Amino acid sequence: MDRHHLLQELQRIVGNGAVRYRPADLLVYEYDGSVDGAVDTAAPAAVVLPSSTEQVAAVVKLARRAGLPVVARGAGTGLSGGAVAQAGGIIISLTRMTQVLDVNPTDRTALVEPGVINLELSEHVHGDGFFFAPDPSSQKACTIGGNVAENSGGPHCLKYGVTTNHILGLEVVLPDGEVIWTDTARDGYGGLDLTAALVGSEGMFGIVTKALVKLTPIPEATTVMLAAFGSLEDASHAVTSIIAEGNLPASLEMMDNLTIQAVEPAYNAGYPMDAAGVLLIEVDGPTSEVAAAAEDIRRICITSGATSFRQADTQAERDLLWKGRKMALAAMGRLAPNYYLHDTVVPRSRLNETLQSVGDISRTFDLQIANVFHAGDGNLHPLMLFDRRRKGDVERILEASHALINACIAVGGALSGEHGIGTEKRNYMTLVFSENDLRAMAGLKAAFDPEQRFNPEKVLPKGYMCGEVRALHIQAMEQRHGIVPV
Amino acid sequence: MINHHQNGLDLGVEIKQWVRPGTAQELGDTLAECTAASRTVLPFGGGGSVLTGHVVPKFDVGIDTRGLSGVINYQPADLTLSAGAGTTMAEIAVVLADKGQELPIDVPFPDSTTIGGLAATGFAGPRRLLSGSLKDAIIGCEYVRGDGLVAKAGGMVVKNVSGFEIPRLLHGSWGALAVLTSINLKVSPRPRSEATVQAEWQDVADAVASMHELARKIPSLAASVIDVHDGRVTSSVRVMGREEAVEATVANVLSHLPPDHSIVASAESRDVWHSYVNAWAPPREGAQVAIGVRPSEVAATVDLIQTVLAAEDRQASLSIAPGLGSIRVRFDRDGAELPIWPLSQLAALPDRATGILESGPDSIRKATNPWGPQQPGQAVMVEIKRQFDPGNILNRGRLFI
Repeated sequence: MDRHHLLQELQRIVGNGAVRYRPADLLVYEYDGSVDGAVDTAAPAAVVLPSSTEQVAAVVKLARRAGLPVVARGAGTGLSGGAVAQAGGIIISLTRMTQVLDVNPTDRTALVEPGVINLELSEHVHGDGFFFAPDPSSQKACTIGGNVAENSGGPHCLKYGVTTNHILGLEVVLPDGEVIWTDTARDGYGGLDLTAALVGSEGMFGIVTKALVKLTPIPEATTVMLAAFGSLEDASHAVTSIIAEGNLPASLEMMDNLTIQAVEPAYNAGYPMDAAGVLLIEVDGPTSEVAAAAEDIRRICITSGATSFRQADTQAERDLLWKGRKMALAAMGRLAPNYYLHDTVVPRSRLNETLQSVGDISRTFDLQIANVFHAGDGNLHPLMLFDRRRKGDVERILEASHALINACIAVGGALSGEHGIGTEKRNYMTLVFSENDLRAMAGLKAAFDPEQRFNPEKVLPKGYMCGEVRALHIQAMEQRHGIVPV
Repeated sequence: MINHHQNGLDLGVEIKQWVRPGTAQELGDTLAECTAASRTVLPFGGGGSVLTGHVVPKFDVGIDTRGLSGVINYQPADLTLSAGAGTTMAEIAVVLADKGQELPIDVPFPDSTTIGGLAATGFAGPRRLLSGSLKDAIIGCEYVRGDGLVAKAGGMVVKNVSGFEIPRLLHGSWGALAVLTSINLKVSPRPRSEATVQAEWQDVADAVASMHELARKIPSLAASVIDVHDGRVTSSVRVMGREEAVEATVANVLSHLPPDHSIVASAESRDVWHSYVNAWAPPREGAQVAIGVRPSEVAATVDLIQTVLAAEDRQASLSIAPGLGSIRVRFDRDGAELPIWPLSQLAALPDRATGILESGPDSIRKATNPWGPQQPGQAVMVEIKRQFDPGNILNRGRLFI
C-alpha cells in the first residue's frame, strides 16, 4: 500500500482532522518521557487520533492489510520508550477517547475510555466517596490506557497494589482487529484470565478501548507524617521496623538530602534542609486504627534516631507535605538541566546495601544522584543528574546506569518496578531471565500477535526473538492453515 | 475401575500411572515425554476441585505435586515468601503466623489444599472484598508448560513489571497451560483482632440491601456473606484490625442493623468464616453452582434463582457475597439428580453473568457445559493453549478450551 493510499484510508476511517502525517506534526510523537540516548527516537509513518472503538478496530485492520506495525500511545509520559514507534508504522493515540462512561458506587466500579487522565478519574469519583488507587507521579498527565499497558504503580501501591489489582475487565482490539471484552474478575468464570495477561503487556497484545476499573472507597481517616534522619541508614532502619511491627502504611516514601535541596526551596513543604533523608509516611483507615498506627510509627521513628517528627492532619497540611514528594522531579531542574530517572526494585531488606551501591556509583562516575523512592516496597528511583550539552555526560550516565542495574539484580532485585521494559531495558532481560523463560514469553506474545506487529522491538531482547518468532510463526501457520511457508 | 489415590480419596476418574516429581526438571521431562507420546495428564494437588469440569473417565498420567512442597524462601522483613506448589496452605499459614503475618485470603480445607491448586483453580473467598484474592498476592512463579519447558516469571519483589504477566495468567487457568512448581507470594501483617456481626432476616432482598449499605458506609469491612439455609436468612459481617478499631467498627455496624443481631468475637469469628469458606469449595456430594454477577445485580439474580427453585419445587441453600456479586447455589444429594439449572438460565441474566458447575453427579456434568456460557476471547485462549500445551495433554477434555 503506498503512502498516499494509506493516508487516504486513515482519513476515511477517523476523519481528516484526526490524522497527522506532516514531518513537523510527527515530531512530537517521535519520543516519549524516556531519556534520549537511553532510548532512540523514531518517527511513525502516521498518527491517528480515533474517537471510538470502531475507529480503532478499523485502523488496526487497515494496518494488518498494509502489513504495518501499530503502536498505541496515551499521553506519551512513559519512561521506557513504550510509545515510540521503533519500527515505524502507525501510532494510534488514544488521547481523544476521554469519557468516563459509567460510575457504579454499589459495584465500586467505573467504566472508562483509555484516554481518561489518571488524576482526573480520581477527581471525577471523589464526590461518590471513591478514588482510583494507582497514582503514578505523572498522574496529572498520564492516561488509564497507559497505566494498563505498563501496570503502573505510584506511592499508594504499598497498601493498595498496582494497576493490575484494580482492573476488572477490558475492552480490547486485538492485532487481527477483533474486539473482545475480558471480564474475568468474578466467581463462576470459566476461561483464561486474559485481563491478567493484558495488564502490563506494554501495548504488545492488544489496544485497550475501555477499562472496567475498581474504585477504592476513600478511607475514614488519613494522616501524613514527616520524619527526618541524620543518615539514610537510620531512615532505612525505621522503614524495616515499621513493617516488621505489622504496620502497612498507605505510603512510605524516602527522599535524600540532594532531593531536599531541590524540593524545599521550591515548595517550602517543611523538609529540614540539613537532614540526610526524610521519610514521608501516610496512614489511612478507620479513625481509631489511624491514631494507633500513627503513634506506633512515631515511636519507631524516634527509636530509629529521627532528628525531627511532624504529623499533618488537615488536608492543606497533608497536601503540602506531599507536594514535596509529588513535585520532586519537577524541582530537579534547579540542580541540573537533565536527569535520568531509574526504576529498579530490590528486596526491602537490601535497601541499605543498595543505597550504598548508589553512593559508590555516584563517586565512581562522578555524578550527582538524587534518591526519591517508594521505600516501603523497595522500588528505588535514583535520579542521575547531568547536562546533555556537556561532552561525555550522556556516555557516563549510560555506563553508570549499567552499573546500577547490575547492582540491583545482584541483590535479588527486578529490572523494573513501574516504568516497564520498553526499549530501554530489553537487552537486560537476559540478565534476569533464561532462554526458556523468554521463549515462553515469546509464545504468549505469538498467541496474541502472530504477525508481531503490535509495538515491535519492545520488552523481549533485541535480535533474540527473530528466529524464534519465525519458528513460532511457521508453527502457527501450519496449525491454522496446514501450510508451510518457505 | 476407580484408582484410589494414596489418601483413599475417590477421584471418580481412573489414573493409569501416578508420577510424583521431586523437581521441576523431573516434571519437565515427564511432560515432554507425555507430549511426544500423546499421553493425557491430570495435575493433582489436594484433589479439592477434581470434580469440576467435563467428565473425563481416565487420564494416562496423574501428577502428584505434593513432592514439590515446602517453604523455599521466607523473608518476613520483605513481606515475601516462596513455596513449592505442593505445599499445603496450612503449612504456609503456620510459618507466616509465627512472624505475625498471613496471606490475607480465604482458604477452604487448608490441611489438604495446596498453594498450586488454589492458584490454578482461582478460588477466592469472601475476603476478596477488602484484601483481593490470591491473584493479587502472586509476585512470581516457576512452572512447567505442557510441552515440558521449565520456566519462571516474575520475581521475589513486591513490585515488578519485567516481562509479561505469565504468573497471573496461570492463576485461574485450571492447569490448562502449565503445572505450577513453585509460587512467590507477597504476604501481609496479620490482623491482631477480629469480630463477626450476624443478623437474621425475613427477606433476602432486605439482607442484600443492608450489606450494600454497610459496604458504602464502612469501607474497612473485611467480608460479608448472606447464608440462606432451611428457610433462615443470616448475614455475617467480618471486621478485622487492631482491637480498638474492631470495637469501634463493630459499634458502627450495629447502628445500621436491625435489633436481632449477635456479635461473635475472635476465635469463634474465625470458625464462622472457616465454615462459610469450606462451603464455597466444591462439595463431594450433591451439586454446587457458582455464579458471578455485578454486585448491583445480586438482588435481582437471587430473586430469579428463588423463583425458579420454587417453580421446580426444589430445595437449595445459597451463600451470597453481595459486595463481590458472588452467589453459590448448593443442592444436597437428593436434589442434585434433577435436570440441571440454573446454568442454562444464565444467558437471561443481565450483563455478562458467569457461572460454573463446581461439582455434581456425572449425569448432570454430562448434560450441560459445566463451564457455563462461553467467555469472549476464545480464539486467543485457543492460541495460548496451543503455545503452552501443543499436544493438548494437560486436562484434555476437561476444560473450557
